[in-house]
Order: sequence, then C-alpha cells, then structure tokens
Amino acid sequence: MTTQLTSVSNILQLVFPSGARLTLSSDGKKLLTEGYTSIAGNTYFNAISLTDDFVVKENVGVGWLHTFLNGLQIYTHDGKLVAERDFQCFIYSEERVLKEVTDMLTEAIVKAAQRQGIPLNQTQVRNEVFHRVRKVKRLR
Amino acid sequence: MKIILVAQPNVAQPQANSSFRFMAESRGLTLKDSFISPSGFCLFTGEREVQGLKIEEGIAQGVGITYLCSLRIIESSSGIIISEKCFKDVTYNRDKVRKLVKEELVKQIQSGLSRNGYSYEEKKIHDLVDSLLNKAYYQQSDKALLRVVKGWGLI
Repeated sequence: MTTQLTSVSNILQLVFPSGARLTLSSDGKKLLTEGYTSIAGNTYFNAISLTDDFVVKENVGVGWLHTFLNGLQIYTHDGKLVAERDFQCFIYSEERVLKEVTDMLTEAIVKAAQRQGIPLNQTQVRNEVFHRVRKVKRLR
Repeated sequence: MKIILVAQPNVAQPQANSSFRFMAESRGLTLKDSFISPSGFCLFTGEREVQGLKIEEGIAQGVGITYLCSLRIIESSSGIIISEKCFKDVTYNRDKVRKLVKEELVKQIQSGLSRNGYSYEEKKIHDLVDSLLNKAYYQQSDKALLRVVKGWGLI
C-alpha cells in the first residue's frame, strides 16, 4: 500500500509539479483539479486516472447543458507524454473516453514499433490495451 | 495618475520552474524560457535538436487547452534563423508540430537547392527529413512505450 501511494504521489508530482490542489472523485478512481470558470461561464478542469502503466489526463469543460472532453494526454509513469489528442464538441462519457484512450494508445504503440522496425500485431495490441486501460487504480 | 510599481518576491518561483520544466521535457523539449501570463496561461519556449538545427517551439498551456504560438528553425552553428512562424488559435499537438516543421524544412531545402541550381529527388528529401524528425520528436516516447509493451510480453 505504501509503495502504491509513493508511486501515485511521484506520478502526480510529474503531472502537476506546481502542487495543484486535488480532490478525489466520488468513485475514488479519478483525481480532479480545481475548476476554472471562464467569463462565458464554462468551467474547465483536469481529471487524472492511473493504470498500472499509464497516467491519463483528461481536459474537461463543463458548459450549461453538456460536459465536454476537450483533450486527452497519456503519460507513462516516468512522465513521458506518449499520446495526446484534442477534441471539439465531444460530449463526455466514461465509455467514450476509454474508447479514445484505447485507440490513441494502440495507434501510438503500433507507430512506435513501426518506427523502430519491430513487428507487432495491431489486433493483439488493441486487445491488450483494451483490458489494461479498463483496470483503473482505485485511489482510496 | 501616479503608478507605483511594487516588486514582490515570487515565492512560488521554484515550483513554477519545475512545472515548466516538466511541461517541456514531457514533450521531449529543453526548456529555454518561461512566463505565466496574467490570464493564467503558462507560456514557454522549448528547444529540440535536429542534426545541426534547433527547433524552437513557443507554447501556451492552459487548464483546458494548449496552444502552439510560434515555431522557429535555427541553424545551430551560426544561429541564423531559417524559418520563423507565429500562430493564432492553433492547438498544440506533437504530430501537428512535426508536420509543420517537416513542411517548412522541405520547403526551405527545396528552394535552397533550386536557387543554387542543384537537381534533387523530392522523395529523398522527404525521407531524409522524416527520419530526422522521427528521431527528434518520437525517440523518447517510443522508448518509453516499447518498454511498457515489452513488459506486457508482446515483444
């Protein structure tokens, strides 16, 4: 347990080195930053979730009717940004976020292997990623 | 109206510095300069080396969005600016920046060769620039990703 806490704290220090104030989501799976409300009245914040291998940072915008996913960044535990994507008018849902994370990671891994000349089976990678990104760590 | 400027020690500076360093280094950039704008955006310039060239990216990172503000290609040895561009409302994405750098480098190489009367094979230039930029933009993250995939037993 202590090792897990140290690892979480190290990762958060990497993603939020300036010591942002974080709260835990009600399901205990995500860390949420403080929101920033624009003049237009939309609130923006980040949500962080951890898997065994990756840190997923979501950029979320809450409007008067819908909640939008504005961007996704995926880091390895040593703080390397391995995939990022922006979205426009992407209505937020947990399942859609997981699907995007799966797609982004599969693409990043396959392309990385291609660049290094390593043969990889895309379907096998997708299956592996699909299961692993759904095993989000509970933070309490 | 009399304006009095008061200098205040910025106690949060060391933390802000490490924050900027992370923002740059996670993207494979070396932090050159940084500044927090009054609107709260973290503005910074990061640099990456591409065989005799320096690519300087100006980035504005906010809570919900990250913008690419500027792009500069400099010859390392002479410090001559080969290309310089400013952007407005362009969201930052490493692949997008790499594409912009490639377009600019290919354009500069082609016009340089044409002006000096050299003939060239367009595909060769594209392949060369691609391999240089792949190394500069993806080497670090490729290593990190493949380490993870190795741990899964897929390679």
